[in-house]
Amino acid sequence: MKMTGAQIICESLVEEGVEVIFGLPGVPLIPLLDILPQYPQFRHVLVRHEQGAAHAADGYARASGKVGVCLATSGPGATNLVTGIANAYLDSVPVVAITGQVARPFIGKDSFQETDITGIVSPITKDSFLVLDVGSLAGIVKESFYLARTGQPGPVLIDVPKDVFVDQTEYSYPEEVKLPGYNPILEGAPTQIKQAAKLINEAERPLEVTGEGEGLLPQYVMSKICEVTGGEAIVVTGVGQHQMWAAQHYCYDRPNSLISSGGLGTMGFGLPGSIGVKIGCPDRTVWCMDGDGSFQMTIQELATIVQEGLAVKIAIINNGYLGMVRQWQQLFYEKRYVATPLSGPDFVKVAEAYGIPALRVKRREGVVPAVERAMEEDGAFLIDFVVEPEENVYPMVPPGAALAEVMERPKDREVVR
Amino acid sequence: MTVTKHTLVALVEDKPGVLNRMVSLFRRRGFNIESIAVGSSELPHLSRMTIVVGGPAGIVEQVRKQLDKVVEVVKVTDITAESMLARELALIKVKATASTRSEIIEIVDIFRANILDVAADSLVIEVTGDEDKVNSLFKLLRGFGVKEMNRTGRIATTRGGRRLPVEERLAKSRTKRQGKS
Repeated sequence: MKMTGAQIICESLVEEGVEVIFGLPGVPLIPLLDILPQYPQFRHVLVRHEQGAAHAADGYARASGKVGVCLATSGPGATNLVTGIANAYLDSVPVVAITGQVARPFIGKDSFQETDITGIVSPITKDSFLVLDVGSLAGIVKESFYLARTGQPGPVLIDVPKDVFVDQTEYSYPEEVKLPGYNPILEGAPTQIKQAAKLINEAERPLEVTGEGEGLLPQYVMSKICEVTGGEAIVVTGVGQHQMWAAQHYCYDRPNSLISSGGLGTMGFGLPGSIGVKIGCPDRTVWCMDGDGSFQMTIQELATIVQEGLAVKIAIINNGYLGMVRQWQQLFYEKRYVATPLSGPDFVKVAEAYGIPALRVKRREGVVPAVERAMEEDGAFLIDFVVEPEENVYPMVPPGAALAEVMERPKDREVVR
Repeated sequence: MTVTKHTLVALVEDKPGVLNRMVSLFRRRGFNIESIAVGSSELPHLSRMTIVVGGPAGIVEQVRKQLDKVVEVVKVTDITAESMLARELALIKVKATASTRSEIIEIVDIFRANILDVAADSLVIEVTGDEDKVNSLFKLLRGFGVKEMNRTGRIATTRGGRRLPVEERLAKSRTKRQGKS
């Protein structure tokens, strides 16, 4: 049966079991978007910036175990995906990114909204394809999903010129992939896994401190969110001090429940990541624990949360600094806080402007009621925790030092549990 | 870390972007590739590539493993330590007048090189050999005025008839498929 490129993409995505596409339109994508209503099995989640689409696809893949799919237009749409693709690559997350490209006669001429996106992402993808012939499209989609999910998983990009979406050809989905150079290891090595599990089980939690602290401490916030949620939530973080505290002080009770940018360390992953996580695991409680710096990088995705009706709970650990860098400046650059003090909007008002109920908490006694209030809300909820500005993360590894030379918390600054 | 010269031989799928991916793995570490030569192999749709690169042995081995992970790369082998046959070809355009032409031809004969083109004021010489031989000829010709030198870079193989197991398997599966059709 003859089909257009757009139809072939949809049919192929059906074959691959795709349920969600995170995307942001552009003119080259219209032929594809135009037929999406004919495929009710797909949910198209409209993001507010393409970086959000890539992070959401990434979060979705990590939480659900399926391949995440994101869709962006040519030029700036495609380049906006790059950080998200690199993030997925560094953490080996299966993501298939589909980008629109200028029509074939305009490729290679610096045309309007043209970028060499397959070239740009070459070092941060398992593979990338420029589809020059609609006849190769189904095979490329098949290969892309196979590559993304097998072996060491990772992102794959498919770049589809505008005119290929409307070109027609006979469609049949290939039964197998032909990749003579690709022999992924499909099963784990049981002995090595056992050894790793043993080491992990023998490890001790590095931090358990008591004493009298001042102000609202971020560690306290994390441990109380944990208490109220019973350790059952999936925690999605940005990058920085709050990420370390979320890893240390939330009492994870279930596997695969801390979703975080480990390899690339992408500030701004938290909010769009939690969108993907919530869509991938709609029955789990999802807490986005973000810093005020990270949160401001992708704050626009609050609109996506509202439009999609996602019950994502957001905790901003607001210390008014780019805290991780500030900690280094404090400890190794004699407190010269250059470019790290950070102003922000009134996060409560921002949330309310987007239509998300919100509270601000400044004192310890406010933490538990606020978290309980967030959990009572059916939809999204935001809490702005105004915490001690110069609290540090410990233990930490000083610059240039080995893991064994870890710095512990100074005795005079201990934390209340 | 001692920098040594390594010869890598790769069997790769003949597809766009493969060379770019492979070269990037050296580029991102700031390695300078001395030469790279690519051509079709005895297997359909597969090319064989010889890469010569200088670097510390441990690092080059790490890059070799990364090359092996590139989807379209079937196999990469570092044959530096093996008994290796390596050749390159050069086309050298040298100034030649009536008075110098016979002297140049004498040198060309000693090197068992060929003359491909004779013009009133120049000769084009073809030479095949290892890098030393090409370098020596170039040095001798430089005195006459070399207008242009073009080198292919090294291509290399190992002595003996042994094929890599992965190539053996591919060759077999391809013969079978061809037999069917």
